[in-house]
Amino acid sequence: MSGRERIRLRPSRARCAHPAGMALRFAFGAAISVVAALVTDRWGPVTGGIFLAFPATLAATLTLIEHEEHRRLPVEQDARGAVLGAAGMIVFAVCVWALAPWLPAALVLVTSTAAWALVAVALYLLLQGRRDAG
Amino acid sequence: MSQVWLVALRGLFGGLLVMAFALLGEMVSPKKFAGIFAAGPAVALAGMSITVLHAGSRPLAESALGMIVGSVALVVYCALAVPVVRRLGAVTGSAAAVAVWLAVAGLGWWLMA
Repeated sequence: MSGRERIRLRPSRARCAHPAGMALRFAFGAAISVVAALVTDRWGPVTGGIFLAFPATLAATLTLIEHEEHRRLPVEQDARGAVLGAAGMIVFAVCVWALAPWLPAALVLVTSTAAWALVAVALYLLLQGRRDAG
Repeated sequence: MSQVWLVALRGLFGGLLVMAFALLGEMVSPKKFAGIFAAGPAVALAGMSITVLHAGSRPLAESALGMIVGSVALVVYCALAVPVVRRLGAVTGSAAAVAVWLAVAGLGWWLMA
């Protein structure tokens, strides 16, 4: 029997998000966006572009578990899943790099985001399938 | 628009998008699948959108070239985050993992330059 848990979207669970945690994530996201902008202004878009892949969300999540032992297991699972999202980020960046000279910018960003989601979800399903088979 | 307002707008948009990805992660299950959203292109989408609105699409490909390097470093960061945080604790472990991200990204930048 497969132990695979179905993928579900429950919008009501958004209410469980802690305001302090969300504020910390906002702060990390805002700070790294400003850093990326300042680095771009000073050293150019290639160097600034490196900071567009800074682990802002995960770094904020990891720092939240210091005094919340009950959050450790879910956060560790978050981090394991994040490897797949990060692999998708490489595809996102390659798509933008390859398509930007040819397509309108909005279409480039939408297509690249779709490619990120597709690759990350495909990797998840592939790894889960192999685990179930093994 | 002045440079200061532009940087502030990037910060605001970046923070909001990171929060949106985090909320999406809260709403989906199982937890390992939700983790995908912890490494979503939130900061990139914010930064690139503002760049396009302000300077057109020309700098987009160059930013993406740098982002490829940053993304490789992100994969290493995510793979190391759990063992490092387990060993050193949340804050010290996170800082050590970020240092690893900086080192890998710096090495990639040096190889590219």
